[in-house]
Amino acid sequence: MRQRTLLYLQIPLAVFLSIIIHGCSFTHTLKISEVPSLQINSPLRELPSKTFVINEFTDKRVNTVIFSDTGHSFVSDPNLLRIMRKVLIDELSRQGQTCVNQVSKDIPDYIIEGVVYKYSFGIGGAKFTRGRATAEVGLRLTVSPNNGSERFTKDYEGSFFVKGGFGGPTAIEMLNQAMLNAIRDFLLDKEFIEFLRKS
Amino acid sequence: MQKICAFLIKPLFVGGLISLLTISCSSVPKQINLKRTSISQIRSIVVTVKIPNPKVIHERMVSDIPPTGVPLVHLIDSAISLSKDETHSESARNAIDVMDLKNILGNHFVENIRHANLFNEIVYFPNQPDDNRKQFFREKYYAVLEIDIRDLSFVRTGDGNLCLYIDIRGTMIKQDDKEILWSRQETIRSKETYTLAFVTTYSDELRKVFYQTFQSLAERLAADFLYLE
Repeated sequence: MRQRTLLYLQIPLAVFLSIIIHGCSFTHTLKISEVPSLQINSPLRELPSKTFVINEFTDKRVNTVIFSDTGHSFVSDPNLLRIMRKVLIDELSRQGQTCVNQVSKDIPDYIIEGVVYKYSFGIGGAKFTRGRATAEVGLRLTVSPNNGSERFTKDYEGSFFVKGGFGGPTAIEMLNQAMLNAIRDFLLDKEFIEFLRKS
Repeated sequence: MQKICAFLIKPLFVGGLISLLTISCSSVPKQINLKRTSISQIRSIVVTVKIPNPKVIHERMVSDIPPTGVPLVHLIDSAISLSKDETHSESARNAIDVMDLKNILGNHFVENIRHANLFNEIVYFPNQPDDNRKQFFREKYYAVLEIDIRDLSFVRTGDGNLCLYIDIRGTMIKQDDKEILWSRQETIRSKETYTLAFVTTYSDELRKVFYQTFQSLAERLAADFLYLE
């Protein structure tokens, strides 16, 4: 009898707590701590060094929420565009190219404009099962030669996924990897290399 | 009661999810770069490729909460879905020539690293070596470079179509002391999605998809491989 009374008390209490949890909304920022460097040998190294100016990136995402569920939203780092631009500058430099500021006296050979249109994280089937957690980054890069000839525009989409189970990389590590994969695809892109050779 | 359980479990699940998003036990697998000092000793390498049979995950529910409620119903549902997916995977296995995929990947990779002229001899060996072959490799080649595809799956996405997921590891191991000279992981999720019929009936179009994907994978791996410390 006493147990039954306790059960009758427990159920409304649990429902009440659940309503509170459901009713609240929490926003978490996924801060980017450190982006590792790409360790690749791109065909860019075989080309004579060119000078690039990389303009501030623009954001064309519908919103900054990376992932949300049951009142919990994860938004991207406010410095995302700045960090992504810096990664591109660093990686181009590592491939033997020269990146200068717009204010520099050097006249650049090319100007690069970047548009971030995807930065997302998703869990399909949950980590508890044999599902996959996937990070995706979409970056549109436009390279304009300073001599006024035709420009080069292409979308680069990097992804990184892990299969179910506990442990493994965090969401931000996966997003960093996806970002690096998008930039790597740009540095290895035969069409881009050909464009540089011709222009 | 079933609904109440689901209602209560979801916040707990999301709480767990938050910890998964922010706390990690390990990070992205460590990469080992090829060292310039090692290169001088390596004269010849053999490249092998391992590819599993492709899987199709179409029927199994892609739900973000663990099953709750009446276990028997879920068990029956899961068994039916599993059985259907097994049939789809079987069709995909019959339709896709795994040896063809191995050759696309192996040949493109070898072609890409040959240009660098790092070694006197690079041999691509398509089959898994048996004991005799392993002994032969030990005597003739300095290192074995294995490209191991650990996951090759078509997984259902939100639009009901299938997306191609590939998880690949590249490792080069010295024959004498089994030292790992190079190690990388790559994952690819296709931008495009494909219908179930497209995946389970091997067509020239599907081969083109694999050809382009594996060519790009081979180029990425080769670019990683040729980065010398």
